Parts: sequence; structure tokens; C-alpha cells
Amino acid sequence: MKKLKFLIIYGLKKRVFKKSFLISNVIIGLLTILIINLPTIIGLFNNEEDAFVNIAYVVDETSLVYVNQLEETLNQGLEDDVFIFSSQLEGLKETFFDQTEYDILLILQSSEGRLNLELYRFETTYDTVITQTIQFLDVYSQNQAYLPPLLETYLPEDYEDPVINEIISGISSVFTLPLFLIMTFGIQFVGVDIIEEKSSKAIETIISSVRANIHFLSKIIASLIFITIQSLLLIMYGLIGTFIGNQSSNVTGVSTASLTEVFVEYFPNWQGILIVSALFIFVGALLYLVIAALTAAISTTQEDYQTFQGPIMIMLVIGFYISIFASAAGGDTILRISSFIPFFAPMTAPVAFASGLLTPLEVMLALIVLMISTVIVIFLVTPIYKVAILSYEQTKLFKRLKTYMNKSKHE
Amino acid sequence: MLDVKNVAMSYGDVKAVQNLSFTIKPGEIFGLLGTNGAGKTTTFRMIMGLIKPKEGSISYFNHDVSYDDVNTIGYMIEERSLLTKITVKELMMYLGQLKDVTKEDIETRLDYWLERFDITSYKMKKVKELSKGNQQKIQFIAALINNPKLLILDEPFSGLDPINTEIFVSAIRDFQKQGAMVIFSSHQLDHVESFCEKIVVLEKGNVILEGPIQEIKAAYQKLNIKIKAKNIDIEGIKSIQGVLQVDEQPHAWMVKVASKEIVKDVFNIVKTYEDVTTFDVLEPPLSEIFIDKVKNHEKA
Repeated sequence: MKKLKFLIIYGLKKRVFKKSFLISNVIIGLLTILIINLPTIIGLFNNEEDAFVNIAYVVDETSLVYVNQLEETLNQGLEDDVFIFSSQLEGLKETFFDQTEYDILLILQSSEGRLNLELYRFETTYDTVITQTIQFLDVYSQNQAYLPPLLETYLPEDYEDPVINEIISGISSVFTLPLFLIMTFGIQFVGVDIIEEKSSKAIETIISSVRANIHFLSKIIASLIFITIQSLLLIMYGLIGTFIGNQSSNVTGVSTASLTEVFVEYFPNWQGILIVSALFIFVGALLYLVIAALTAAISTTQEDYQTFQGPIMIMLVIGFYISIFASAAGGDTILRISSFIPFFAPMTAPVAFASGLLTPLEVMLALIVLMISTVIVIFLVTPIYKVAILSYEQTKLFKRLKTYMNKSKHE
Repeated sequence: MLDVKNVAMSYGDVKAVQNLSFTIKPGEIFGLLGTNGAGKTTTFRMIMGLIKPKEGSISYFNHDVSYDDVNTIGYMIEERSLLTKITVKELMMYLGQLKDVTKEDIETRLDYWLERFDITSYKMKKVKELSKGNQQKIQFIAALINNPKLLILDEPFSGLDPINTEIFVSAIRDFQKQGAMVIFSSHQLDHVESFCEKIVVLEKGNVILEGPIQEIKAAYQKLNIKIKAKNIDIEGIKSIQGVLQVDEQPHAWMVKVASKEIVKDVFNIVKTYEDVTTFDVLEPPLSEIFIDKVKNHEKA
């Protein structure tokens, strides 16, 4: 235990107290803060007038004093008048969703000094602009105690919010990228550490002081702790990003939500998603680390390791791409199936669960499949590692692996 | 005491070591020799408890050797086996603590050995900045840092100049005097001869020669005679029954005979020559016995 503890601490110090770790974290931190506030940043440069509606039909039944001003304000900056004001309401409400002449129907009514709004539209993009403009004028027009307008909105019966899919897809990529990065860091951590000792033959001296399985275990545990540290740092960067976003909203007046707020808004079960993700990343990282450790152990040189780790990285990249593109490209079935394949599950299962493609029971089942696979891999790999770490075969990968497997049966 | 009894190790059909036996007492230096792939590394690993023999037993101070004993064993492998991106001190701290040596003891011992090898200025230098010879010294110090009771040295002198070889020899002798057991492996058989009382020669996992060096030489029987004289009748010497080989060397002739009885026959001829300045009967060097035995084993 003493040697295991020493090796874990030594391995961690070697990685964490390094300039490269500091530099990479500064870059990752800045990127995370940037990505978290991407909606705000885009909002700062976004000119919504360019993409405005064709025609908005406004029916005014109020004769309120500021209606003319409202017409002027809504059409301000537009080449042609888009908001056409009228007092003719007949039949407009009933036929709105069957016609294509105009995109928005806004009906202004008042009762007892309070404004009632009915908003008919095919999609929700301009709701905020319209309602905020009206509310703004309404506030200044009333000297007495102010009552906010009552708003009723209508959408087509078969309406599907296109934004939600984009948001899920966008959040999937933003959310999966750190998982991918963390897994990659972990694989590099364990692999580079082992191959450095092996290619320099220092492993001979090390294994003459500490059992091969303790050495193996120490590398895996140190990498898992490293991954945990890196994950916590990422969460911290995320929180800092959210905080900065909130502060900048106060200063600039642009009240676009940060990615964290969007995430919380669109995923009401975000706590569950985070727990599921944490479990998948932990078990998935363990699976990948064990295989990376074996790959490094069967390698003889740094070049060997670079070649042999290729398939591991490809599996990881495939999982990453499935998770970010499958839902956007309508590949829900692929996302579901890949959630039960251990090599892809660490990245695809949390996304599938967040998208509602997997029920809580199914996601638990996917986790159990991943856990069982990981345990089997650990039992298979440990004896081979013990032999491979002190062997220097120069044959091709599979022949080498076969030789070590046979040797491990005899030792 | 280290007692290796009838040890055998195999990997499937490949027999790495067969029926190996030897004993080393405290204060003894033992030679384990063999060509590449003879089974030396497997033997070292079994002695250190890294792998368990398939047959036989290895007793270390009256108990079966196991991994729990590694802290009392020092091991220096044939090739460079150092982490080169860290400093000498960091490396020693790493390897020393893996042997359960305290930081204070590592520091003290490292300072002592660096001083003794005259490389104190390299303590804070990265290993990769050192010359091959100095890296060899660092590797040697790494094997000694835990003050081992059993020191396994595989080709310790490779790449060393004669002066540094002498420093290594002196350090090994000191360990011997302190009662440590030393297992020594080298292809430079003159070193083995000057160091070891007993040897085992392995070839493809088989023991082809074993015992005290003097007994091995005596049993070998063949002798070499060095002759310096004028007008030597080489054909006359070659015609003597029992003369195996006659080689010309700079300013001398070397005659190999099958046994000491033949020496007299050779002498009877040589004494008739003019100006005989040298007639030395020499024991065969260990290298000759080694090559002879390995070749015979290969033929068999």
C-alpha cells in the first residue's frame, strides 16, 4: 500500500505540477468561459432587423394614445413598413393559420385601462421584440398605477420548435467536448507515463522494486484522480464563465442567457444528466485507461505506442462524433444503440439520456453493460500487463499480444 | 544466503531455465554466465521474486524468496535503464523510495556515492545531459541506494573506461567485505575470473558448466604453453600426440595441449632449441573454457 500510494502521488505530481498542465488549463479555461458565453457574444453582434418578418398585421381595437407611436417604433429602421396597422378584425383570427400572406397577427385590445394582447404567429422568434416594445410604450403612457399587459399567444397545432433540436445538438457538442478532452488527457497521461518508463528500460529497475500489478494499479488510479481534478477544474471554469456572463449582461444590457442557463432551462432534469454523465465518464475513463495502459505495456518504443494507440483514439473519436451529430442528423437509433456499446457509451449515453432517447432505466442498463465490460477488461488485461511490461517483442501488434497472452497463462 | 535448488522455468514449450542449482553465501561473488538468450534474465527475475519458478525452489535467508524481499536486493541491468528527463537527485529519490529508503538516507547515500565516483556536480543535472559512462555510474548507484544484501549486476562494466572500471571494482569489493552477496554477469570473462569464486554457465536454459572456477579449470585439463625461442620446429611440436593447436603470437608461440602429461613431451623438444627465453605453462582462461563448452553444447 505504501508503494502504491507513493507511485500515485509521484505520478500525479509529475503531471499536475508541470508547465504544460498550467498552460493547457489556461487555454481550456479561457475557451470554456468563451463557449459558455457564446450566446451572449453572438447576441452582441447580432442584427436581428436583417432577418425580420415579411408582414406583421396589427389590429388595434384600443384607440390608445401611443398606437401611432407603436407603429412608428416597430417599423423603425425597416425599408418598408412591415407592421401594418388596421382596425379590421373580421375573420383574421380564424383564418390566420390557413393563410400565407402575413407571418404575424397582433391584436391589441384594452379593458379598464389594461392592455390585452393576442399574438398569432407561426414561430416564436420575434415574440420578445414585439412584447417588449409594447410594454415599453405602455409603461410610459400611463400615469396611474401601472398594470402589465395580458398576453395570449397562439401557434399552429402541429408546431414543433426547431430551436429545441438545435439547442440539444449545440449543447451536446459543447457538453461532449470536455468529456472527449478529459478522456484524451487520461489516455495520454497513462500511456505516456508507462511508455516513458518502458522505452527507457527504467521499468526493469522499477518492477524490481514494485509488483507489476501495483504499478499498473497506480497508473490507473493516478490517471483517474487526474481526470477528476481536470473535470472539477472544467466545472469551475464553467461557473466562472456563467458568473462573467451575468456580470457582463448587467453592464452591456444584453440579457442573453449563458449556455449554463440555457442548459438548465432546456434540461429540467439537469441534475440527473450530470450524475449520469459523471458515472459514465468515470467508468468509461477506467475502461479506456486500462486499454491504454495495456497498449503502452505491449509497446517497446514511443513510436510503437503512437501507432498502437491509434485504434483507441479512433473509437473515442467515433463516440464523440456520434454524440454530437447523431441527434442533429436524425440518427436517434444510432445514438440509442451506441449507448449500449461500451467503447462509445461514455459519450453517447449521457447525450442520449439528455435528449430523452433513453429512459432512466435504459441508461442504467447501459451503465451496467459498461461496468461489466470494464471489469472483464481489467481481469483480462492485468495478467497480460504483468508479462508485457517486462517484454520487448518487436513483432506486429496482434502477434505480440498473442505471445504475451500465452506467456501470461504460463507465469 | 541464497539457495537456488533445481529451478526450472518455461513458457509453453520454450524452456527458459532447466534444473539450475547454486548457492551463494554472504560475502561471496558469484558469476552467472551465458550467451544472449541463455536464461540469465529469467534467472535474475526468479531470484528477485518477480516470477515464480515452475519447478524447484529459491531460498533467500532461509525462506522462499518473494516480492517482499525486493527492498534488500539491488539490481543493475545490462542496458541503460534510467528515466532521463529528470535530475539525478529526482531519479534517486524515486527509485530509492520505491525500495522503502527514507528521503534522508537516499540523500546521504547519494552524496556519498557521487563523491566516491567524483561526479558530485551532476546531482542536479538531468540524466540525459550525462555521458554514457556517467549514466552507467548513476545506474550503479541506483542499484546500491538501498544498501542491498544481494546485489545483482548484469554487465556492470559495459561502456566504462579502465579507471572507472577500477572504481566499480573497488565498490563491489567493499560490498563483498560488508557481507553482501553479489551475482555478477559479464561477457568480459577476465572480470568474472578476477571476481568470482564460483560460476554457473547457462546455454539455452541448460547448465553446461558449474562450480568453483579453480575446479572447473582443473577438470578442463587442457593447458596452454607459451614458448619464446629461436628456430622453433613447429611441425615437430605439432607431431606430438596430445598437442591440439599451435598458434603464432607476437614474439611467441602458444601451444595448446590436451593434458599436463603432454607438457613434458613438448618441453623435451623445446629444450633442444637455442635461446629459449620463455616456457610458461598457463591455465586456460575462462573465456576459452566458456567458448569450448558452448560450442560443444551447440554441437550436442
